[in-house]
Amino acid sequence: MESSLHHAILTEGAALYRDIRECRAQWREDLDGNKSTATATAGPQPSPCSKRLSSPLHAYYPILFHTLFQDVPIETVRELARADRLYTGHLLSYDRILDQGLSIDTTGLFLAQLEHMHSLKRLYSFFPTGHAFWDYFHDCYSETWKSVREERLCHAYRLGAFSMSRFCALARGKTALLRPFSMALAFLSDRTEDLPRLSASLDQHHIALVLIDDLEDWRQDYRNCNFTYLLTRLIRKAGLTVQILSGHPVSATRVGQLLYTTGLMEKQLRLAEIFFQRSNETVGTLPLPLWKHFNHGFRVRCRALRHDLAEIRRREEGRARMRESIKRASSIVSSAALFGASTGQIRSGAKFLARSQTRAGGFPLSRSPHAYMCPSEYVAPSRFVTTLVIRALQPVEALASSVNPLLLTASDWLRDTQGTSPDPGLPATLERAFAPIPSDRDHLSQLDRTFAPAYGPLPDGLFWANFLCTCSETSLLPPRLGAYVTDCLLRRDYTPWSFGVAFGPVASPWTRYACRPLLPLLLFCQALGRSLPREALHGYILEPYRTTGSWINTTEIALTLLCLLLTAYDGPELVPAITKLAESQEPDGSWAPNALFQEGAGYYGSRELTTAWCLETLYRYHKRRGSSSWAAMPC
Amino acid sequence: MGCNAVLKTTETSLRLLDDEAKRVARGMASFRNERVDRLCGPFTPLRDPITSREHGEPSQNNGNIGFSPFYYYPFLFVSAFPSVPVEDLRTLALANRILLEAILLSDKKIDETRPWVPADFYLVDSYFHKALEMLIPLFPLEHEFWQKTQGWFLQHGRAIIKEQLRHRHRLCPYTQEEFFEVSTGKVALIKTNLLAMALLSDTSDVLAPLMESQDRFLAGFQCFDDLRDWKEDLRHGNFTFLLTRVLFTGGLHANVRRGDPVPPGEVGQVLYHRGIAEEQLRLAEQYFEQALNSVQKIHVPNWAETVMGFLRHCRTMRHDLAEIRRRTTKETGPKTVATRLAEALDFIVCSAPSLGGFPLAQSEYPYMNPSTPLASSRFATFFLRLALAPLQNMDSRLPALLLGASEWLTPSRRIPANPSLPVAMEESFLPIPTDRGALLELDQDLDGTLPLRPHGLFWANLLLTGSREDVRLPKLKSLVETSIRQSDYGPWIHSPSSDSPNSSSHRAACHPLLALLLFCHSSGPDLPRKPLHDYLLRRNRKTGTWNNPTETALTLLCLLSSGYQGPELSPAVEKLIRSQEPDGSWPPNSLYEQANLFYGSRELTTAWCLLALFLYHLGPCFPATQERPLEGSIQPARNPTIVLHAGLPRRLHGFTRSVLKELRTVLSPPWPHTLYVGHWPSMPPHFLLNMDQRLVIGVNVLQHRQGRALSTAQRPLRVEIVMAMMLAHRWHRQGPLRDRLERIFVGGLALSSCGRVWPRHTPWETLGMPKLDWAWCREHEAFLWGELRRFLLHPSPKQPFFRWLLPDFPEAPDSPIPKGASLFLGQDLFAKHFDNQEPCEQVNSLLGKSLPDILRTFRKKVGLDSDENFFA
Repeated sequence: MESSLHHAILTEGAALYRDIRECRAQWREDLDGNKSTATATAGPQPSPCSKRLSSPLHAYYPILFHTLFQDVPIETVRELARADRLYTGHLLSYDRILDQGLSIDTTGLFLAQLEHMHSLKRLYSFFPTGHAFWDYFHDCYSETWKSVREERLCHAYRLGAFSMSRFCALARGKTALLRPFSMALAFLSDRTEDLPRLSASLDQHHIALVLIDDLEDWRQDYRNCNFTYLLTRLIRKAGLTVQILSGHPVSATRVGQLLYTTGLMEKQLRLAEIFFQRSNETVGTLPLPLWKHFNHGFRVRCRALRHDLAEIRRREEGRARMRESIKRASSIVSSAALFGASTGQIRSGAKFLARSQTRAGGFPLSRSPHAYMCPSEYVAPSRFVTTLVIRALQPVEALASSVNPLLLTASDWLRDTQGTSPDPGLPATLERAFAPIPSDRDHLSQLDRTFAPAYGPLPDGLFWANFLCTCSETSLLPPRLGAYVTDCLLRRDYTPWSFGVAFGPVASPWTRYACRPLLPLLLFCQALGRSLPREALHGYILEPYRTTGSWINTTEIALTLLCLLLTAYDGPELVPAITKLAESQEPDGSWAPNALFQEGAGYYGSRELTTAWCLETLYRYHKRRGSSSWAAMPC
Repeated sequence: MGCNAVLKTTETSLRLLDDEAKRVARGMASFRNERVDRLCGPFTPLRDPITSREHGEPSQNNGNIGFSPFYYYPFLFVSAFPSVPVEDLRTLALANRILLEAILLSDKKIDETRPWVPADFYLVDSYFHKALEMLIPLFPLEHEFWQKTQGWFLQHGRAIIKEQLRHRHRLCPYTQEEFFEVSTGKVALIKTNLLAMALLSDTSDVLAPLMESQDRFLAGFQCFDDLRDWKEDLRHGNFTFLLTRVLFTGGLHANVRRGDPVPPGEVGQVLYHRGIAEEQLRLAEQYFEQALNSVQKIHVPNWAETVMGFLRHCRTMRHDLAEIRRRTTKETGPKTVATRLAEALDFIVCSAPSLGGFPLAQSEYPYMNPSTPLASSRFATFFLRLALAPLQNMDSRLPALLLGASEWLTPSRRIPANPSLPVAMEESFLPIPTDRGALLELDQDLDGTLPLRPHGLFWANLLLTGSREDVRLPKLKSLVETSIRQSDYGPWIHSPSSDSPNSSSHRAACHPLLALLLFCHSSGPDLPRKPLHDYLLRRNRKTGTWNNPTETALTLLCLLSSGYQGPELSPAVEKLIRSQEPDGSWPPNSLYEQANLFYGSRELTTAWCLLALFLYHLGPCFPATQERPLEGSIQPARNPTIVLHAGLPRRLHGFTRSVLKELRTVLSPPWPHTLYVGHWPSMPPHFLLNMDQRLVIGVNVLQHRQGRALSTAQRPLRVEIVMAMMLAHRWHRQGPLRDRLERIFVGGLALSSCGRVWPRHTPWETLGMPKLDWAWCREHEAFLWGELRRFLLHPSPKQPFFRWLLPDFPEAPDSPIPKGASLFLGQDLFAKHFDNQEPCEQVNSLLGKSLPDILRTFRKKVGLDSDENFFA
């Protein structure tokens, strides 16, 4: 019940935000005096199938408090939410200008001023001049700017002491202006006795958000010399103060490494969790179920992220050890022997898979509350995993003798389970997508005719992606589906392929969607390979690397590399990715998985599938590089 | 609201504008201070350069009121909307001013190459919020007023964005239509006043012509403003309509496009010498005329009078500029001084009227072109006789001329002054009884202040008469000395307000140099010379230039008669020589202004110039008894001896010598006798000692590391040496430094000079700061100046900011202000002011500034004094 209510609120926030964006686009058009500019900045018109829930923070906060002030009409609450979003938007624009330094976006400045005026006008429609609300507002106003000013004076370019209490005071002050819009409800219903408690709860919540924000934006903060609580602690702890102050910058990569390896990030998240919890404790027994649920959602996400970070740290440490051993090996053996080392990696990976295969032959799917799948639990053998493992291992079969029996048993399992219902613990979307399809061409063609691109492939994008693969195995190109896939690739619109119906309870700033488009993309590549529009595809999948200069987790690296290799890409990005992949193998021969799919609060992934993809990647890469011993092998 | 509360359009309402403006200014200041107090704590008003200028300086544009019209804007239209209650008008006036402050602050930040700081956003939002809060009670939220206001806000934004995109750091063709669109769009929000008044009074028929008039006025105002601020615009890369025209006309557009700096001097040459400034003023006049034409059929006398005031001012300025151009472009052949003096004497003798009295001329313009001769004037004849008396041996015709003048001035010829002459001036030079008793009686009547009547010049004349008759007039003398010490000459120049029947539109003023000349003639070297000379030379020290011949000659005469012998005299004399006209005369400037009319005399200016040249080249020299700071000391050296502490590398000797050599490009000898480079653990980075009347410098070097020579303040050694040398130079000229701001001033001058000599040094290296500390200072420059302002307002050692103003203060752990911040400010003081001038000359001039001048510089910089540009 709460969850559906919450979803409704998010939907309200999204609708409200859409309105504001449209209004903003109109203002921008008026300011620029150029219609085309406005359209361009507003972004492409969303296709009917790509409309998804997206609501920024502070587009629905007053609604979260409505349960306590039910005498206030919902329309009024919505107006307050609108004013809240407008005001927040204006503050964010100012924040950007402060960070930008000299290069000011003048249009952005005027838009911010318009947002400011409109937000205030909405408030004035409820509170006439002289109302007690305005005293509260002005106090918050001064507090915010005082804190912003103080923070810039004391912590921009300065690395002085930064205590926790000082951080709390600054964070509370900085976000004080976000309070009045929700607290307006108390004034409207003339029940200000709860105001201190509610304000304190909002403060705790905002402090936690600032903690998360500092964590997210540490790179930008570091670049702008805004030494946040997190950065100050890190720099002082790492003894880098003198070096940084003297203008000899420490690279952001180094700072990032320190952040991850010293465990400071996890501590920061732990702090955020505490503040979300305190926020709930502060309101005590007040009937604020949505607010409490909201805080709880954030807390859960923080915890998940903290666990992921711990797992990343574990993996990085393992990778460092592996790198050392590879380095040692390369110093004593010839380059030819290095291919042998890779072969060894593939073989040990294959052995791991053989060990992990269930007795019946299927490969299981795992479930975890965290995207880095640690800790995780096996759910049940999955058609989705087993099908993809088989596809990945088929090329490797010639290199590792243990693969052949494994493939046979797995295929048997798939055949045996045909027609049976999947285990109820498995996500139905995935399993249904990989249910067997009759492979005669007529049936496939008929199925293609039922595909209606106007509505997109939802709800089972993966089904259609897998369908494409099945068609390619029978040398059939389904015209409708093929055209739609090409169109999506050219438009870089993968939403229909990667989003299902259920997503996390809270659209927090750091939500990541587990079913990344890489999964359907891999299936497209397996099906159509070089005949895909490659430039658009490569541009999309290499964008994260080209932006950050680093590769993320092994599952994503393997998927990306496979897509690239299957579409004959040969750029400089391959070497660092392969190196990272090789270094990431765990002592048991496997590769640590990341989630491939998210449903509700659960993440789904498979160590076996990730390992299979890594093996295929290594194999295809070295095969293409022309290893003499591998050249004759089938691919 | 009763009938009494409605303002009627009468002469009285015109007079009331000043009161309304004061009310708005008070309301604005009170709101701003309250806001700033909430942000920064009590008693810390942030500097607000926009309002300070308008508050401080009564506008010259409008002869009536001392405030800019934007302080009482709605009241200008009150007669068109007579039913609007006065309280509503007041609300509109204050809301308009507050909105304007928000817009001006935003514009300023956008125009200047400075980052926004939180206080800017805080103030801008506060202003917008306050304006909204004031207007909402007048117009409910759903009222059409708000829709139109938003439309004007968007127009304002569009104009700013367009200007930014097309004309900031970009030189594109700029049409007059575009200029009109931008200039009216930028202040479109001001239209809310007229709309509000029309809506409140339900009178819409006059709205369109009033809006049209307002647009034209604003375009004219912008024309005028662009001309006033062209240097600033050029510095910030804002290529206004005017600048674009100047740069294209002068062929300087290629520099801009290449990214090369455009010297302001060259831009000024094109602007003024090719008549573009006059054309710009003509354009402004056209706009003002159109503004007046638009409201011909509407009864808005206040508005018409305001526009007329601007129109008059532009016209006057245009005529003056034309005259200045004529004067500066005329050819003067090479002549000896004797020839020039002879020609000038010829001119005077030939112009002498037969009756002995010399006439005064009248003009609409301060540069007296064109002018109309009036009747013979006691004032002119008196001063002419005074000026020519010392020269009577130079020409045989002069004694007769002087005799004629004296006879014309005698009491027996006491005839009523011609009514066209300014009464106050003529009355001041009526014969004064010369007997001791009468003089003392007049003196005794003074009660510690100068009475309004007669004019101050009468009293100055009385002092001269007393001195000639050897009668000491203690009260008057004391008043003179007080005025000189306080540099306050107001009582000596202003005419009593009852001079004219309609005093609100009549002001009278004469240049204080007239009174000063009489003081110098009567008391000469006995006057308090330091403040007198500082006052006389203030303009030259600020701008490095001399003004028109009348002023130059008067200043020179005052300086020479009071025994001044500084380096400023020579360029002044040069300027005078260059300004002589082919007929031997010097062109006059006005000496007196009354009711928008100016009075002066070519003969009188010529006589003063003649006397100044005579005294400078041929006349007797007054004994130079200036107080020397290091009086009795042995004269400084041209090449100091360099002494190196044992243990330091020998090459530091050569290094120091080369530094001194390079330093000569910005600082000329004489220099101190000995320069020690060594290591003294307990001494500051550089110091001066007076050892046996010889000035010795010490530069404290850091133990040598990695081949870089650094001082103990972490500054490059060469920078430390320059700082020490400048300090020594200052000491030689003004004695030991007495104030920390003086130290910051000298330090800043030294550091910015280093920037010229060794441009490769990064600013943080020069300051000896870590890079991030420097970045902090740059980011928080406004905050630092604000702190300095607090110090100037409350200079107590108990203030926390007192410590950091020491150039090398130890950093306090609880203070965010980094070490070296004060020198950062010092350097910033000179950041933009070494444009074209000869560096040595400029540095020497700045090092010679008096302490009060330096303090004034800081006060001006932080907006405590008027916004006059110290370096303009």
